[in-house]
Amino acid sequence: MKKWKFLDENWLAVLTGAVIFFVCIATFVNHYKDFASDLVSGIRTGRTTFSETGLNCIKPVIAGLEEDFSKNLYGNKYAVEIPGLFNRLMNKKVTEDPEARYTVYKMSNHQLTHNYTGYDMTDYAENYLKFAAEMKQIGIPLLYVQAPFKINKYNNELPYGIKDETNPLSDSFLEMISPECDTADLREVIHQEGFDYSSLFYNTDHHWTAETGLWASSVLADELCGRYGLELDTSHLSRENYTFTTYKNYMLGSQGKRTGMIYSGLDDFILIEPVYETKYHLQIPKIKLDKEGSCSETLLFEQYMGSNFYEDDPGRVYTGDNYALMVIQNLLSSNESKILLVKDSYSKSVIPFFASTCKELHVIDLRVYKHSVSGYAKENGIDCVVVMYNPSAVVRPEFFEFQKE
Amino acid sequence: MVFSSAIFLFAFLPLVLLLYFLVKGTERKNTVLLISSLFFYAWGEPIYILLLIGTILLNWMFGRLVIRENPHRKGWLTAAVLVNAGVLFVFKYLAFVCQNLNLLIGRSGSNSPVSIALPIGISFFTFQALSYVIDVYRGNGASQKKIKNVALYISLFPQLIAGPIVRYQTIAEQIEHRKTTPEMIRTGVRRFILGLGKKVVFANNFALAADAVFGSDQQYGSLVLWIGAIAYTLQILFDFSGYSDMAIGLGNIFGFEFQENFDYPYISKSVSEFWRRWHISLGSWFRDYVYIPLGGNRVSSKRHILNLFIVWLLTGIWHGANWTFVVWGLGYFVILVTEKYLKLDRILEKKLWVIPHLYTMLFVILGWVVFRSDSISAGWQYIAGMFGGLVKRADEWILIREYMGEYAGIFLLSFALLIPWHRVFHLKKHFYRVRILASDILCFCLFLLSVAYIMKGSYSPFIYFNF
Repeated sequence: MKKWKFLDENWLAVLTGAVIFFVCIATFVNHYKDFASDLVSGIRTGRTTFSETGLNCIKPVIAGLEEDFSKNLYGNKYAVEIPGLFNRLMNKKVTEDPEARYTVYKMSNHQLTHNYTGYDMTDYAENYLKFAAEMKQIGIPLLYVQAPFKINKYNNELPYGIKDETNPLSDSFLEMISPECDTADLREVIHQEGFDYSSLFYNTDHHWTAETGLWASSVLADELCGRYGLELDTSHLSRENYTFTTYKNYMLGSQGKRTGMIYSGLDDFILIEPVYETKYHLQIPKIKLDKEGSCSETLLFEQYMGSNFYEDDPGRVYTGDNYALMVIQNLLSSNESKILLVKDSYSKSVIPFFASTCKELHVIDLRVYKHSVSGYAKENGIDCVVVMYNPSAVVRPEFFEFQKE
Repeated sequence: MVFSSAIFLFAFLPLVLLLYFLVKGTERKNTVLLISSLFFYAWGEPIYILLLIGTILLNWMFGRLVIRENPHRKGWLTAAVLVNAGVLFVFKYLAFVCQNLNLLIGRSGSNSPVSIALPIGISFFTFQALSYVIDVYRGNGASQKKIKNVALYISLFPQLIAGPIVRYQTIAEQIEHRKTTPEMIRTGVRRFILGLGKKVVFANNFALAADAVFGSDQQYGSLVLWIGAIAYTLQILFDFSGYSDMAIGLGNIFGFEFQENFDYPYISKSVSEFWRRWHISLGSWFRDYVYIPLGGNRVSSKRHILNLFIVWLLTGIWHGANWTFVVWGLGYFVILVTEKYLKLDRILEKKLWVIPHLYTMLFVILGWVVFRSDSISAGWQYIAGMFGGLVKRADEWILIREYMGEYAGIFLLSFALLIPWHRVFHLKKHFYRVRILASDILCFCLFLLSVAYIMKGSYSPFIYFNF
């Protein structure tokens, strides 16, 4: 009786304490090795910087530990649903993020987007122009392709009072490079074709859909054939060459994971597989992958088809992760063309379709690739280099480090 | 670290609670609290922890030197005041003074030649330390031989970085003799959750609402400006009173009873009453350590007004190194003197419906606009706009509709927290058990919502952090 009376009077304190201790213990049990290793590496770094910064060297260690703890907090992936519900009830259009560039805006078409502001494209343009000069010297054509962004340049549906800051950044970059370099702007093509803009993108993710990737690969192939007279097989790039399997309400994209699915809803996921015969040899040195098979066996990573909304990312079905280097040989190619694609994550849903057009498709991601791109192109006898970025990549310096050695 | 952070709530706090309740005896518990408090401060200020330790050492020493038996104690008291004020001046005001001197002598460039990072909570712990020395001098508390007790008093983490400013005389006995009862833990947990919810759910959302207006480069009409000003008025209340609630709640859990710091200030009927309800610990500190020693109101009218001027000048300056805070403080001086000498506060206490409340909130809101502004001219421009046309452009109505669509809910919910309903409806005895159960259930829901927000890692600056 005494025990029940105690609980009856103190259940709030007991339950609150239980939640706090549970999260504390679960977090440490799951991640104590990560915290320990962060602490050790922080101390090592601190030791080396102590002579310059004095006791200030402790601050980054503390900041790093705190950030890691917050990121690995037990249940944080799921807890986002509660503020998401609250935000939905309040009809909030803006979900702030500790990292300002990841603040999520809900557009009037109910799609979520980020909006990048305050970047100066000058250095990036200079790096690109240097790279372009190198490519000109070695005689390999270079094309910059501007992929579209979720915010429609011609009809942004951002919340009232929020300006589109992202498309102007790409505009400014293109303005700086286009006098000396070949460029193609898919945003203009989309605008001219009069597409239903929001249908090109996922609602809850920052990427375009795989169907848009298929369309983009056809536009890209046409550009390369038209501009540089390359022999590319474009016969497989129309919709009738593929099956489209729709998984309804299957995916919670990157932006939806930040706001919670109660706030954002879910996306359908469409798996696009070729009906024509395919045979590829895929090499990904970073993960020591070397295999041969059909498109579905090599370029579609169906192990990522999981439906855990918080853990899985079905978008990775299309060529997996962002690897430093991928080499795809089309063993049924009717031409000898070799293309190097310098990519961001948008290109993942272009690669499985574009690979059918040429003999070899080499794919580099500058976020992880640590060597000279022009050197690679020269060594591997590349016929044409394509750099294709979406506007959110245009603001990241690592995408423009073409000359790393 | 802040109370509303993941690392505090799910790492620091459980560890401290575990150690605190595992050890037996007040002495050992004090040791746990002292070490955790120093660690708490060092986590946020790994260098300025030395400043805190230095403050503790110096003031303990001053506390030993101002005892009755020392014939030179007045000199030591003066030294204590000068040293503490000096430390505060150097870290908080030196850069500002240098910048203004530069402007005065016509030097080009608006940047101060001196740049010193502001230690978190310096205004709070130096005032607290000074309170110890003055209380010992006055005989309101015994001089502590044990430096540990003084260290604990000054550095106790629940109130170290944002108050309430705890008086030594109120806490000396509790440091040596206290016991945490289940009732105190119950009360403490409820209070902590309320504070956490005020900060994480309300203050943070009002911060977004206020920043959308104050931070915009657009020119708005009075409607939007008033909404922004009210949003900030609510933000600062929930931010600061929320932090105080958390501090008081944590204090309860560790067996301490701190004094209240906020008493529903926005129901005040006069500005005089407002300052009896807002940041009570600061107001009473200035009353007891500045106003009364200067003579208070037991002097001629001229001297009384001068005393008030000094107190409100210091109150403004205490809040920050900017002319806006000085203007804010002196603005209250003018209003309070007016209320006092025209006996307005007595008139306003009569039943005049909502007029006294509107009168008070008008000055409070305008004051917060100045308080928040980066400069006096920016504040003046904002206030001028608040009394201009309703809108500057036709499409502003769309903004107002969208803005209120987003924030109306939180505005309405917040009004529930502004009024002491239990006093309004005299609910003390009615349906007691049902009320307690309902309020506990609401509390737990608020706790889960707050934890979810913390986990989501939303926008979470403490306004009073830099004082």
